Amino acid sequence: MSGARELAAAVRAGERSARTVTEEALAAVAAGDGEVHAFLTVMGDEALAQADAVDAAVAQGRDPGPLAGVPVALKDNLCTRGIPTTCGSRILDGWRPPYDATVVELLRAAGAVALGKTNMDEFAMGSSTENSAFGPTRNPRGLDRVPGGSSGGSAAAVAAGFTPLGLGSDTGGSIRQPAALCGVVGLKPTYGSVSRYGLVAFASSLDQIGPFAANVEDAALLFDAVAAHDPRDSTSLPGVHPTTLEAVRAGADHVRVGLCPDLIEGCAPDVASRVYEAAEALSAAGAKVDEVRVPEFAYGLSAYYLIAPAEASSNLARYDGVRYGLRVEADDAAAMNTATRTAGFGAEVKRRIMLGTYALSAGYYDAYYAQAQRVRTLVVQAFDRAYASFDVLLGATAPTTAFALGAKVDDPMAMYMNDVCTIPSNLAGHPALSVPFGSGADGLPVGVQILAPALAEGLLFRVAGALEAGAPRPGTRS
Amino acid sequence: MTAPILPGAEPYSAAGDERGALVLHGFTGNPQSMRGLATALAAAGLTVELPLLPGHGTAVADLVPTGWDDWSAAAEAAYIDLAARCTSVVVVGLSMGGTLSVWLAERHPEIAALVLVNPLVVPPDAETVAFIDSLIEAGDELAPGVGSDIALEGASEAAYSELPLRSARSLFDAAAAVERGLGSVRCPVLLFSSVVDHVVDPVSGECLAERVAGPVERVRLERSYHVATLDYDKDEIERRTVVFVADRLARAPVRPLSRHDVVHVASLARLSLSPDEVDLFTAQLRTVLEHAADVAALDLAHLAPTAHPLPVVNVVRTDDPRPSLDRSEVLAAAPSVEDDRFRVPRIGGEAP
Amino acid sequence: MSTDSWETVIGLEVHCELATRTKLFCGCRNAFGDEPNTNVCPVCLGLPGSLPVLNEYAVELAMRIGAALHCEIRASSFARKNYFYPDQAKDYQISQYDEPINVAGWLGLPGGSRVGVTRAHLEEDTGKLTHVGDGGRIGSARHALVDYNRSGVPLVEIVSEPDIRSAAQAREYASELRGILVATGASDGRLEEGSMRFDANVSVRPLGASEFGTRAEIKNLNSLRSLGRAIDYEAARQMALIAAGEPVHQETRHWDEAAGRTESMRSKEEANDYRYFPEPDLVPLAPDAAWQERVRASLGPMPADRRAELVGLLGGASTGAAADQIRAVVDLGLDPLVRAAVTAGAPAALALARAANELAAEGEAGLILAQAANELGPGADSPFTTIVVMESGGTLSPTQSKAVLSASVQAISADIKGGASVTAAIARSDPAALAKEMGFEALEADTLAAVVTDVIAKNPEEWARLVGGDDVTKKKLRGFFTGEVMKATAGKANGSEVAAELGRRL
Repeated sequence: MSGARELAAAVRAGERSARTVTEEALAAVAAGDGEVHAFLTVMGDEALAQADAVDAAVAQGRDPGPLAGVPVALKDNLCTRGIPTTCGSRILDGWRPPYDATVVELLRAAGAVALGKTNMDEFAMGSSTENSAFGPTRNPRGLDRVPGGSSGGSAAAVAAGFTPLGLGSDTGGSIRQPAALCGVVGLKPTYGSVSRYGLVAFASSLDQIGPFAANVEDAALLFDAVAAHDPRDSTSLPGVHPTTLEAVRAGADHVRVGLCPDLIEGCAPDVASRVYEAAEALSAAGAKVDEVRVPEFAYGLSAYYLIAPAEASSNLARYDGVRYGLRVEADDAAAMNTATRTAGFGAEVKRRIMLGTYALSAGYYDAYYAQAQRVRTLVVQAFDRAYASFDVLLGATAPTTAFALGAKVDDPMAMYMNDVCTIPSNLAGHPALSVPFGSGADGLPVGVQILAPALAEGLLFRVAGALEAGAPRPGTRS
Repeated sequence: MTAPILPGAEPYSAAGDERGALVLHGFTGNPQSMRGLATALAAAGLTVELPLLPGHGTAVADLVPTGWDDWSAAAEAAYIDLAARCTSVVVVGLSMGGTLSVWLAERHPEIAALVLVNPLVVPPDAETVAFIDSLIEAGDELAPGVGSDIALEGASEAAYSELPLRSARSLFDAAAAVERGLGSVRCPVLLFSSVVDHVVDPVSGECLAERVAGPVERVRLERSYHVATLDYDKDEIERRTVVFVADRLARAPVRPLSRHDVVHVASLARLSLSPDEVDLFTAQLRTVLEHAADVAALDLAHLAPTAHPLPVVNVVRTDDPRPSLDRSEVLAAAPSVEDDRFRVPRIGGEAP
Repeated sequence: MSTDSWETVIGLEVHCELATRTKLFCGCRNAFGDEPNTNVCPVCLGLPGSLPVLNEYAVELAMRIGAALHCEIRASSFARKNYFYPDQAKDYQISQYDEPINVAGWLGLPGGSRVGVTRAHLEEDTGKLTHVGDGGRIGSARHALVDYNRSGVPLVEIVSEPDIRSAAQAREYASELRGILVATGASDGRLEEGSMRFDANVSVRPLGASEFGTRAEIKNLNSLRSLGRAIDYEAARQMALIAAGEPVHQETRHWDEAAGRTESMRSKEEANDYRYFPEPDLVPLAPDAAWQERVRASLGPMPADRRAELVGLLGGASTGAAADQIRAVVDLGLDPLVRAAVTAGAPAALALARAANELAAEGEAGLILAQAANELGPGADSPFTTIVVMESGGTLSPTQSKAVLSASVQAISADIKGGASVTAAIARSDPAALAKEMGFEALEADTLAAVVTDVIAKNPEEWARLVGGDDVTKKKLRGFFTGEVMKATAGKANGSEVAAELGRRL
């Protein structure tokens, strides 16, 4: 499938019909997704209807929008009215929201075609999409490998070429890490720049919706379409977000890049060497690259694994069998709640709910939750100090290339370590982007991560554009 | 039936905050020797327990039938009881009390810190032990006591004037075992060593300082003899102990997650777990929390917690009605409906 | 142990539903009595993906309450109170915990004492549960039904210091608080619709003790009457326990109105661990000094101020009956009418009496006049003023005045029921015409004179005794003649004018 930008241009110009594009996409999914299992629900009828509406607009001379006719894969924690939204969980099996998420409305207004809902770790808790109640997704670049998580389905949909664009959510790395493992571009935007209304909450102060794309420009295009103030989300940043598309070709000249060993040292050697190559590529592109140490990042993992479960334990309380979703009947209401939740949640979700409940409980709140929020302040201050001398930071996205399916399921702590490079940005609310940069020793994709201060997506896209231009050809080994 | 407790030998307790201090006296001694130190810790706000160990503080005849197993069991029970009431515990011991303290730390790695005054960790040499064995075989029960080794004129320890040989023997065996396990003690240690000690050879202090895995703060007492807590350096010991404890316990990690905790939070979260699941989750969660111990131990009191990543305030909407959902769509998703309302099974209790 | 010299210590927590148009965090209507589950949306149903957005007017009302209770209004934040219950749509309540919007205030009781107000904060209400089964009580129910119309309605929870010392004082506090809440516009004060709900914390201790006894919490009392009865019962229960040497348990109790006693609610000692933490979906609230000033400046007079004003109108005196009348009039919100009448020249005591007695007796219908007076402002015409002035001017006798007032109010009320607006109905009302219709024409001076002459002529012996009698006889016989004149004029005569006319003959 061609890039989103070209596709939209062609549809707007009347050169291609949105309907044809959608039909082709649906056919590709039908043919190829049996293997990959990126999708949980394919929105065949709805997609075609949307495509027809786009074509009608073009025919009538109305502007169909910047994403006209472009198929998009939606992570299954985004509410889509009348379409099942499971969050990868049995407890919402079959639930159809009575409303659309704001981003879904924005996509429709931009002329995009929602092709289907993609697989994910249950309630976004995981780094491999193996925690889905409906079976894992396979990495299109290596079918015995995980696609990463929790937005593994959307990353895989883009990597497999089913759709040029995808939307995921990132709480501790759930867009960036699968992007790195699948060899696509993934952005976690500044907290508050994309509305969370209609995103089923995991950890409210950390969650952000963000784009997947096969190239940097398309990612910018999608980001621009969904980054907007939303009065229905109190944490939505006021004002208008500057568009980023132009930044992609602006080059990295004179950008001060901080190469951060604390985001590289825990990684496999083949990944680390790609990051160093990326630093050189940026240098060659005119950036000023220097080393910067931010040792406070090391505390991020522990703080995250207290804050996120704590907020999640509260956000997931509503799944009690009363108003929607699964219900397992019992003699009294409390027993019904317990039976429903015990049957409906998987092990990882239960683990995090209990961890979070513990961290918030009487006697432990100050030592765990409040302390973790202080660590958050520490991390923010550390970022501020780094950004006094640098414009962006550079590091790895994930510590290894895609690991084998089943390799880490029995060791939660090992699984959590996958997030060590991505977590600091979530804690600070800053944007960060993963861009493919060569392959690992096993030929699987490596992503390098660029971090920037709040609202500096423009800088991210500048550097990402330069990195994309200077990246090793796919398939070359380090 | 034991003899009445000697005046001043009574156990001591003080209710304080969530930091605990277990204070242990020495062989043939009793709480009298540690009361000053215990009250100093209580004044600093800690919850303090200074138990009277079995056979001690009454008459030597009561000590004769007891041994290490009895004293260590009592010390451990006192520790467990205190730990249940506190989020972190420091153990403080003089002489054999020090032996018990280190023994507890080897068995309970969650103990936050140790304060030791002339602890017995290296038993007497083989020759001395053999000599004592021969006395026991010969039928001797008691030997002259070792109490009240104090330099300060007028100060005295209300210890027994004799000591039971068998009991001493059990102590030496235990000390040997404790010495072997020193490497597993990771918590911070404050170690007071009298330069002149007529009861416990200074080699104990040297050995301990060298072999424990955690940081050791050593204080050499120039003027006091063995029962330093009643001697010239009494005040210094109390002062430095209070400072050390306040420092260490402020930064000590919280007590580890237990099975009981897991069952409790599962119930709070309306989840039911099988016994195997409780075991599995306890182990897994404990690993995560241990990893989080590095964070819990940081001194971040000067930082405000971040609840929201970005500084936005006063987001409000006007009091204008907006369309509600269509009731049929809402109830269509409900698992059970009656009279246009959501139906649930009977509710056991009233709302909180 | 004797509890003869023991005192009761009471703290009240009052939940007040705010009179906003929409809910606290969403745009669903805040309305009483609508069809179940018709005022719901993703937010107040707690659907996955929904987010709360704060109602500006609810904040305004919360600040008004704080200002009226002399609180410090502060920057505040929201917190989640986590617990499972079917009427709690998200299984957590968004409330305020360690940073409430109002702190450290007080409420003055009519008698003069003050009750401290610890805090008054914003929080959302729950849905409504109906227990289905035998008897409708929770204990015997087979299942329950939930209506989320009320879920998310804005509440302000007002917590008093434990300064209250009797059930009577608690009722006074509650009543005064209600008046204040209505005066600020924050509440409609309709206890029967659940606009205010009371929780009472009750404990007992020896007089003069400084430490508090163990307290029991009685939840969800819905009327002043049950508030008083429940507190009296609970205090007596606790004192009886102590006198018998038994402990008082710290627990939550439920007031059974029918049985007249409190019952323990908690089956186990398990205290709820609410795991409060800052609400991540809402940002902090920091009303600036200008907003706070606007709120304080916009506050109208509180009940205490209005009572004081009426006292002033009476010339400073306010003894028993008058004080009661003043309290009743302010409580019912009828004082604007009294003020208007006085401004128009009527005597304050008369206006007060007519409002407290006759107008109050008209109930809802009477309140309409007051409402109009509030809306139209002090200068506007009011039938109440017209009638009271007519009476004070002698055009109507007291008996007639009361009758015209009643008829007037009824007529206006009927007019409004028939579809007229309040303003129109009041404009249309014409007390003078009504009086004429009812036959209450003012008695001409010479007509009265003629009647008096006639009555004197018909009762010559009595008249002779009156003329020549002592003071006691005179007084008695004046009464007789006045009564006769009243009879002869069918009540149209004005008592004082009759007296004057008789006086002239003597």
